Amino acid sequence: MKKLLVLLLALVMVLSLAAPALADEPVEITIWHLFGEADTPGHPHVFYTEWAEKFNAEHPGIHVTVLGGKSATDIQTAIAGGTTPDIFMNYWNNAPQWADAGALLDLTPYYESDTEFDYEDIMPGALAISWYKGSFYSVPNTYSTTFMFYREDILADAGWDHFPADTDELLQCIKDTTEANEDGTIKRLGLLPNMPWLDTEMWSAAFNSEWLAEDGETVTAASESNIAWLEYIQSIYAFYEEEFGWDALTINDFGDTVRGNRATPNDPVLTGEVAMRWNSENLQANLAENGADVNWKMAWFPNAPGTEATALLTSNVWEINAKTEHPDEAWEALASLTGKENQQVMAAGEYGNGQFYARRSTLEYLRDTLADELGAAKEDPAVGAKVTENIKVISDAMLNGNLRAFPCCSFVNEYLNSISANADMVFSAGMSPEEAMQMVVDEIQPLASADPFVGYGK
Amino acid sequence: MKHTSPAAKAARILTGVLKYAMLIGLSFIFIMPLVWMISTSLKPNQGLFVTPIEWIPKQPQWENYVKIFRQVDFAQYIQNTLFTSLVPVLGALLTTPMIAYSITLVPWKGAKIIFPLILSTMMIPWQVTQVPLYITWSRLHLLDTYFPLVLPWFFGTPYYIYLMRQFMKGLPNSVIEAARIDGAGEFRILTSIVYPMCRPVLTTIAVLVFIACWNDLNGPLIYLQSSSKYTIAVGLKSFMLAAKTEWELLMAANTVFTVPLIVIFFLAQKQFLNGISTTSGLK
Amino acid sequence: MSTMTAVKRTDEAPAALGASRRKRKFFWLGLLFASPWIIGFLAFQLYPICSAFYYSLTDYNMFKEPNFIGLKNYRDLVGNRYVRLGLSNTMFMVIVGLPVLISFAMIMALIMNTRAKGMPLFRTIFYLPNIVPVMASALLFLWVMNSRYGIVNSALASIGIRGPSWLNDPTWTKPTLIIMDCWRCGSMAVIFLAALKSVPNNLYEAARIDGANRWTCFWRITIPMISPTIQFQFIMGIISMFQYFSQAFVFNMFTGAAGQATGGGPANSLLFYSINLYREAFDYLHMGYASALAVILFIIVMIVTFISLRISDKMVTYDVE
Repeated sequence: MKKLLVLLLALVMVLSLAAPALADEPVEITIWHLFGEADTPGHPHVFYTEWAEKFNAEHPGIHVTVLGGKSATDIQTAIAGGTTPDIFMNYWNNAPQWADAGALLDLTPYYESDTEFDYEDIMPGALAISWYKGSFYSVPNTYSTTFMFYREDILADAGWDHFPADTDELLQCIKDTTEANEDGTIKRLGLLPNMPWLDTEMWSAAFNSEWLAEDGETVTAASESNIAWLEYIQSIYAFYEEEFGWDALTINDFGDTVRGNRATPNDPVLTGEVAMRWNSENLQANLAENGADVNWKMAWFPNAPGTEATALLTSNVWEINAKTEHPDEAWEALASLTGKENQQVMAAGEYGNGQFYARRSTLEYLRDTLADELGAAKEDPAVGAKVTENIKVISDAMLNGNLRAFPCCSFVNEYLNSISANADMVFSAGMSPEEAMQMVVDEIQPLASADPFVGYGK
Repeated sequence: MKHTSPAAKAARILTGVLKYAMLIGLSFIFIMPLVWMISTSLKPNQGLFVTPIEWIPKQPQWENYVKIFRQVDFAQYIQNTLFTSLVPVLGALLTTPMIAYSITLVPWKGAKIIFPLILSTMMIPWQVTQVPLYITWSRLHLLDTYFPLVLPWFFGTPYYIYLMRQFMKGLPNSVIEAARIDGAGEFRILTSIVYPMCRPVLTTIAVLVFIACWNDLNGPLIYLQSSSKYTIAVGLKSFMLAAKTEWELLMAANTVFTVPLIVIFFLAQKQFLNGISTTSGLK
Repeated sequence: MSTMTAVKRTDEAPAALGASRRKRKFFWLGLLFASPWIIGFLAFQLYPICSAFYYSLTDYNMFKEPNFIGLKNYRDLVGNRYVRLGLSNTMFMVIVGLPVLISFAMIMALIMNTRAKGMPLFRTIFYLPNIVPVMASALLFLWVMNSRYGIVNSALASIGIRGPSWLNDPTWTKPTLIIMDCWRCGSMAVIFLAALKSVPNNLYEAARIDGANRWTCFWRITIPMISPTIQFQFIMGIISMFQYFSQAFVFNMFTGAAGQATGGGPANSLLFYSINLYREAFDYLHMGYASALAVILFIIVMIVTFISLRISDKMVTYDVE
């Protein structure tokens, strides 16, 4: 034991001598983001570090450091206790509560005075989720929505020469494309109602239902249209049960496996384990790479019949620590990071398959110029053609589609959690949609009454 | 001269066979995660769950490992992690026996107060103390240093103090009393009598502390702010996040991270065996 | 025994003057030896713990200065649906999970303690699931326990049993976690092993001469001899089970209403008290309310722990004499 201790002491001393020292910089701006730190070309961290190098060279008075791999909880703890980081990435839905808590710097003065930043270039939907109670607290970063990815060949075999135009057609298409093995087990599902997860916001967008009434304080979770999409999902489960004897548990167990294979060469769309599935737009890159010889396509998620076509919008955002010692320098860095010029550079991201950012100019550049360049850069021309086509489709849809986000209110996290947990009660515990959504109303209405939601620009 | 009958011999062989069958059967269950991890790490990107499972990849993709070593600065991270794992082991071995000795074998009133206090500190969920603790380190200007990661181990960790206490309570009191009568100082009793007797448990503590620190992700992620100071766990977490759905890289990273621990455990567990003679020799 | 009495006699013989000096000496010694913990407690723990207690009486949100609001947080948590759910899920782990886990760890330790060639290797293998990062084991477990394709249900099917839906059926999710914990019982088993190794061999030899069989030896010698360790495992187990978090946190990322920041598993069956606490603290920034939850948990755990200590102290044998 003694020998071991001596040995340990010696090692410790050697190591502590070798431990590096930290040098002080005059105006140090630290940026933390939520992605990993990789040096694969096309990875976000690579773009950030390249931008930081360039920025540091051009701005001798500021030194920017970029660190990745942080979680929202790490960031929370750090900014609750101090001035680091100055700038951080966040999920848009955290902004209202963090802003109320005084954690976020109010960026409105900068938005208004920085003409080069040109905030009107940012897509209105993304601005809406950066805006809270009269102020901008976030700068939108990515711009993301949901698409349907489907197998053209499987649909054709089932007699579908077009993709379902509305949810009624979708249900019929699900029925037509679902198949069992000879032993009665699942061969293919038309659609997995909770793959990659039960995306309650997307479903409500498809059924054009609202979570809050016009007044901003009446919780409408139990509205007819919200009950409607829950019943719609129930009808999919019911079909599987009645037609094939697969209960919800069987479907969900099937879902567990395909969930682990998504965005790989064994993605259920590529293997044909599902005929259709939804995902955010970035799946196209993976499918293009992995499924060059598979006949897959993408389409808008169908809407309920007779409703206006809307789709879900999500975004991640950048924010500035309210305690930062150098707010002006932090803004200067952030404005450069999210500025027109740099966004165009970063649009080549997602491993060279196009990354969609919230600026109109960036999306247009992506559609009109970059899509062709990125496609041409692919080794396999077939893959390249597909990448080009998809980028054009997606950026065009983002520029012209009717995208809407969940209300950016002070109780957004409670509301989102409550919806998904109670919706899950419908499918896991057999609760009725009305009862489940009434529980959401009971939980959220007091919060909404206490602090009503005020929409963007009101 | 003992003469064994063929029947007794057969019975002995049979129990032996049964024993090994059980050991090997159990090993199968316990080794699964490792085999699965390694086999996934050597496959081309294909997803997590492919049936039927292929335990031995047909064409092992060694380049997955090359990728990791190219991307993650292992030389630096391993050096950092050794520091943040060995120093706590040292701290725990130095102070845990002292504190446990004080509340177990020294007859003083404070022991009755301190022990429940030590236990109580474990009952507060970390979720609510994390931020004030961070503020404490921030006020001490020790953020972005290794102090928040290693220093607390020098002040005793409740879990190990309690474990140590239980072992010390089992030690024969007479030996210690006799040493006191012989005029031995308490410090000498601790180092030359108690310490050797506690060898099995000390080894256990050393191994468990080492593994805990090696695996610690939360601490380094919160307190370290420059990547040159990262530990392996943090470096790999960043890497894993970057790998996204490339499970094979994630598993290769996990393998690289885990294998050193397996070797250390394998080597250290011999110490448990050596411990027996020491304790029973005192009887 | 004879040395012991001899010690006592020689010790008590000198006058009362010596006794009080001895008492003082031991006081300072005890304090000196305990000083690392005392210093650490004052420097790093007292402030966070006191803050938590204070915050529970405020509307603290992590960032702004807290406002004193009296017992409002405590009133709010009474009867809250998630608090109730969290408590009952957590109690299941304490009452059902812990005894199962400890028994299993003990059996594993007994196996690891047998003499067999290659035992070091077997021990290492049994410890493996504990070394492999939680995330990797959880991912593997999702596959092992999958009702359709998993190894467990395939094995059950081969003997004609239709296994349950371990991960998606709310009645089976907690048992699945317990199974996973048993499989990760390495460090518990290693502590039991260290205890087993400290049981003097001559006790068994003496018993065997008296004609005791293995079963009797186990109940009459092994169990009493390692009873301090059993007590330790139970007390630590109670404390950690009440704070059950990490495994459920990982599982909830993949099952139930997956996709949400901090889920509660299928039909909230994995919404443990600490998961709810985490959600309140970090997702909703209700640090004051979360602190009140923590204080209530602290009180519950303290009562349960000290009652268990009282009861078990009577069953634990420390002195080998």
